[in-house]
Amino acid sequence: MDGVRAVPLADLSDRELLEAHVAGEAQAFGELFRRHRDRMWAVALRTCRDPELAADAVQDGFIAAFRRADSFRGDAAVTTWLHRIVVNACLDRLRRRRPTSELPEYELGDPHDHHSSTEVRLDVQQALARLPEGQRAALVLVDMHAIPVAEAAEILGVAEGTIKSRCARGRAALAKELGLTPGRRAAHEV
Amino acid sequence: MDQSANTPEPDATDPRSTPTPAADDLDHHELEDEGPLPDLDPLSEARVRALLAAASDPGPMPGDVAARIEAALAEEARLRVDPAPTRAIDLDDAVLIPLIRRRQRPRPLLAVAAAAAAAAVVAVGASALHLTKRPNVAAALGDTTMTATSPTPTGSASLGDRGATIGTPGPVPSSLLPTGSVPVSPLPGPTNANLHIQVSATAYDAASLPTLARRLVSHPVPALPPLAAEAPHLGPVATETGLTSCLGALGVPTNQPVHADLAFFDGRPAVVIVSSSASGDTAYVVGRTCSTGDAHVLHPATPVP
Repeated sequence: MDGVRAVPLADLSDRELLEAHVAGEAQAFGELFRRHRDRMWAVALRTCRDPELAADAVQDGFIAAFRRADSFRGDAAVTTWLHRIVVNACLDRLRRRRPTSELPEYELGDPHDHHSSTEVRLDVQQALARLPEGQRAALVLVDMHAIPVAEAAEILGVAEGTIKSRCARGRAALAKELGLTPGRRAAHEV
Repeated sequence: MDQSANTPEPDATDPRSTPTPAADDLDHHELEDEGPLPDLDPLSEARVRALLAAASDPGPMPGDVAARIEAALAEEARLRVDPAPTRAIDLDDAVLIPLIRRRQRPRPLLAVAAAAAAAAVVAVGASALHLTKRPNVAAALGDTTMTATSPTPTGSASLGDRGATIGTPGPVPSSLLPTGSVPVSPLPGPTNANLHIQVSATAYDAASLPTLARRLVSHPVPALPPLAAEAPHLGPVATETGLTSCLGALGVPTNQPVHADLAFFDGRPAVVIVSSSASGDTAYVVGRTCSTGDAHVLHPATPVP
């Protein structure tokens, strides 16, 4: 018979960690959080464009996932499930905030970038911020985080065709805004 | 373009505080998705995609944010764990995790019978774990889903993608039952079907109250199980009896649909209650100590559009 040896949590798959959490393993969810927090933070920050809002949304998302882990049906990757929870928490937070305040222009650029490069990136971020939230969320997932369209559709709870059309509309709006279409100047220069 | 035909129904079991954007904000997204698709030339599209892909990474989660969330998760875990005397078997990672690994290894046929017996013991142990991971009150009251004969998610928990299981639904000899998991009498179910009590992380405020209250009625999340409602941190209002007392204090009848959401209002723990009547829906915001004699009103009654 095999000897009993503890397996480090780090060696378990996401799914195994989630199942261990549901089964009562106290440290399993902490490992999931450590494993995915940076990615969820990046998605939340790019979706919310406000560190405070993003922090709240990520916390909402992980707490919800902790409490309802037993509802994970296993027909998607755990990362997809977590993305879905966190992105929806972001969208919820944004909707609640919208009636009373505008989103701040949060600097997402790398301070070590060359000036021109930083300018372009700021333009992109600002143009992105002006998109409708559905288009922005789709572009953040698909173009910025390289998440496949099908998975983005799962995360946002819409059809793949909707993701494709939102990406197309969003890219066109960005191109116009940034003056990337032939013969056009940037919208803010007009 | 109408997306509604392609939009999946909201999943009530999905761990989100609110429904999917598609279901929740359909009008907004319909407007966003209207009109013919733009005709962006491939070169411009590629440039946009390249710019987005090259956008600087926000970097790792700041330490203070990570610490804050870890603290919140630790608090969740603290509320989940019960060091009660009912704890009979300690399935920590010295026991549970090795079981995962052992189930993943090929075993000789002669070990099958022993493994089956072990699985039965683990099923009971997992059930005991489930029992002992609940708040004290719940553990003390017991739960029919905690008995070893019940095919609960815990009892049949699959550990690993390779089909390993640590529990098997089905009868277990009473001699195998740990002291903490003796079958208990079923608790009475909800006695007032009009009352829906849920917990969410929703952050209400005065501005969002009408919209979010409407969402509470139209897209409630699954109701809080009666035993979970006994959790001390939720307050008495999380129970049907407690909510009934609170409604009495508010003067809200209980013979009409009532949705109660244990959430937050202006950042404070609160209960948002929506009472539905023939004349319309009304939202009330009270503290979690709301009870007979003191409704602990946090916000005036608000009509729900």
